[in-house]
Formats: sequence, structure tokens, C-alpha cells
Amino acid sequence: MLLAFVASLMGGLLAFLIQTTIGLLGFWLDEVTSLNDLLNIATITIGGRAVPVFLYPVWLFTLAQALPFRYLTSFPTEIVTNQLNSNQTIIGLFLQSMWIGLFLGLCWLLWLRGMRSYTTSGG
Amino acid sequence: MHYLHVWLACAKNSLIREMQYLSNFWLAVLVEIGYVSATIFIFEIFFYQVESIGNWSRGELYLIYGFFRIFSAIGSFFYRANFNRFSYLVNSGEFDYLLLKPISPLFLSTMRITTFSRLSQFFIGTIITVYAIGLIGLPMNFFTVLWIIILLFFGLTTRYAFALVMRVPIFWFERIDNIGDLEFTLFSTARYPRLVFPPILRHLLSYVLPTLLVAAIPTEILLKQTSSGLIIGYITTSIVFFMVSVGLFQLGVKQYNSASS
Repeated sequence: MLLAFVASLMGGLLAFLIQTTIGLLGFWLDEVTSLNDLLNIATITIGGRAVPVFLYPVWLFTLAQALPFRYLTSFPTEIVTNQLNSNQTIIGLFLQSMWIGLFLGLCWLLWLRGMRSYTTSGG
Repeated sequence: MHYLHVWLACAKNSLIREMQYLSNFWLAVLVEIGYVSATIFIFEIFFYQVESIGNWSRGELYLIYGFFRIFSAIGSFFYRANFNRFSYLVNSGEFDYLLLKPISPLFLSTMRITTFSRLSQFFIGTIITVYAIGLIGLPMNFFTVLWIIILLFFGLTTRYAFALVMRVPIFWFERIDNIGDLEFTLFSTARYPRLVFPPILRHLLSYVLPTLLVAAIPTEILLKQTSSGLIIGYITTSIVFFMVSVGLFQLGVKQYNSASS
């Protein structure tokens, strides 16, 4: 249960970071709400938010494990419902932290770049 | 004729406004296609595991979904944006101006804005429907097509009435923004066959909050051996629901006291 708790906290953090990344793209794009829609679509499909990932064909399940979207809500749920053995849990937690690190770096980079390119409109 | 004339003029305005933001228009189309793909993805995963859901085959389920898309498209095209603005009209007192016009305020407040980007949904829905009909092997002739159009008409009437009923309380209560979200969520149940739901919920969604009337029941009537009771019930509920919603709107207008001036 402790692991599930940790995984959900990290899932929340990852969701926050992905959305922040999308938000930061606002430095260069006029409109980012449709990117949020695309994120939503990705979590519904490949992220296993609508159908458990265990029902997927093998190749799709492998793809879901590699991409970040499963680690938002599906992965913590899989731990709570005892679908994973300890090996899979540890690999999952590792991949989750890896994605968190990656998006953290991306956010930081986009923020620095964005601040440099930012030109105020009006005022 | 008069109403058609007014509607065409309003639609032209809406089209001009949408064309000013052309990239938004295409993004909206892209997002629509994305959400449709997500649903198809879910269906395909289910049918990868099982042969049928309830006693509904893959083609039959796609037919419901195709109908659901067509309804959403027609609804979004003609009136959805208006309902989103409805509470604003009443709260800001802009509704005053509509009452002064020599035309039905119901027509003007619910049909004024047309959303052209939603037509893409209509094409997607039609493609899914035709594909599903092909999968099922439903014989297509003049009467089938006519029957489909009649069933769609009553489904659409229910859809409109439902949206109206959910918005009319604004005349009595000042803030009802959440009800719009509730309507959207309730309507997402409309894309599944009736048998998916447990009996109590099934009856609730068929006759009290009739979201299933919109797509599931027409499909059932079209495909399964149904009693004439279901057909009569379907048409009657649709008409009654429409009359109730218009009645409530008129009551609401009587209750309305202007916000400004």
C-alpha cells in the first residue's frame, strides 16, 4: 500500500510536470488548450485510463509501458489492485521516476528559453 | 420561411466569425478526430477480448456510436454554442433584447450561433455508420433510410429538449454552470447499448433522463426484434419531453426579470 501511495504521488507530480510543459509552450504558441486535449486523448488510449492495460494486445502493452502516459493514473491503480508482481512494480517506479526527471529537465529548459524569447505584448 | 431567412443570416455571421480564426477551426477538427479515435480504440480493445457486449456485436456497437456522433454533430452545429451562452444571456440581461425582437425568443436564444467546425463530426459519424451497416450486413433500401431518418429526428428532438431542460433553471437560480457539465457527462452514456446498464439505471436513462433515447434505442429498434411498445414509447417520450421543455422555457420567461436597466 505504501508503494501505491508513492506511485500515486509521483503520478500526480508527473501529470503536473507534463501540463506545465504544455503550458510553457505558450511562450511560442498562441493556443495550447488543444495540446491538453491531445494529452487527454493519449491518457485515455495508450495510458489505460479507460480500459485496463492488461487487456491490450502484447505489443500495445509494451508500448504503454515505455510511454509516460500509463504512469499518471493507470500504474498506481495497477499496484492497488495487485496486478503487478514486485519486479514489475520496481521497474514501473523506476520508469516513472525517469519520466519525472525528464519532464523536470524539459520544464526548466523551456522556462529558461522562454524567458529569453519572451516579448511583452502591449503595455 | 421567415425563420429560415433569419437562421441563414445568423449562420452566415457565425461562419464569418469562425473563418477569422482558421487555425483554431482546424485544431478543433483535429481534436474531434482524436476523441473519436480514442473511443474506437476502447471498442477495439474490448472486442479483442470478447465477441459481444450484452448481446451486441461489434458492428452493432459501432452503429450506436455512429448515430451518437451524428447527433452530437447536428446538435453542436445548430445549438450547442447557444446553450453554453444561455446562462450568460439571462445573467447579463442581454435576454431583454431577444424578447424585444419580433420572433420567438426560444428560437433566437437557442439557434442564433451555428458552429461549422462541428460538421467534421457529422462526416466522421456518417463514415462510422456506413461502416457499421456494412459490418452488420443490414439491407439498405429506401425504407431503411427513411426509417433511420425518422428515428434520428425523434432522437434529435429529445437531445434538444434535454439540453433546454438543463438550462432553463437559470430563470430561477442565478448560477447553474455545473449543470452544463452534468449534461455532458450524462450524455456520454448515450453511446452504449441499453443492456450495459443495470435495470434501474436503464429505466432511469430511458424515460426520466432519457439519454438512451438519443442513440441506443433507435439502434435497437432498427436492428433487433422489438415490440411496438418500445417504438411507441420512444416517439411518445420524445414528443412529451419536448413539450415539457418548451413549457418550462415559457414559464421561465414569465419569471424572468431583467438584470440590467
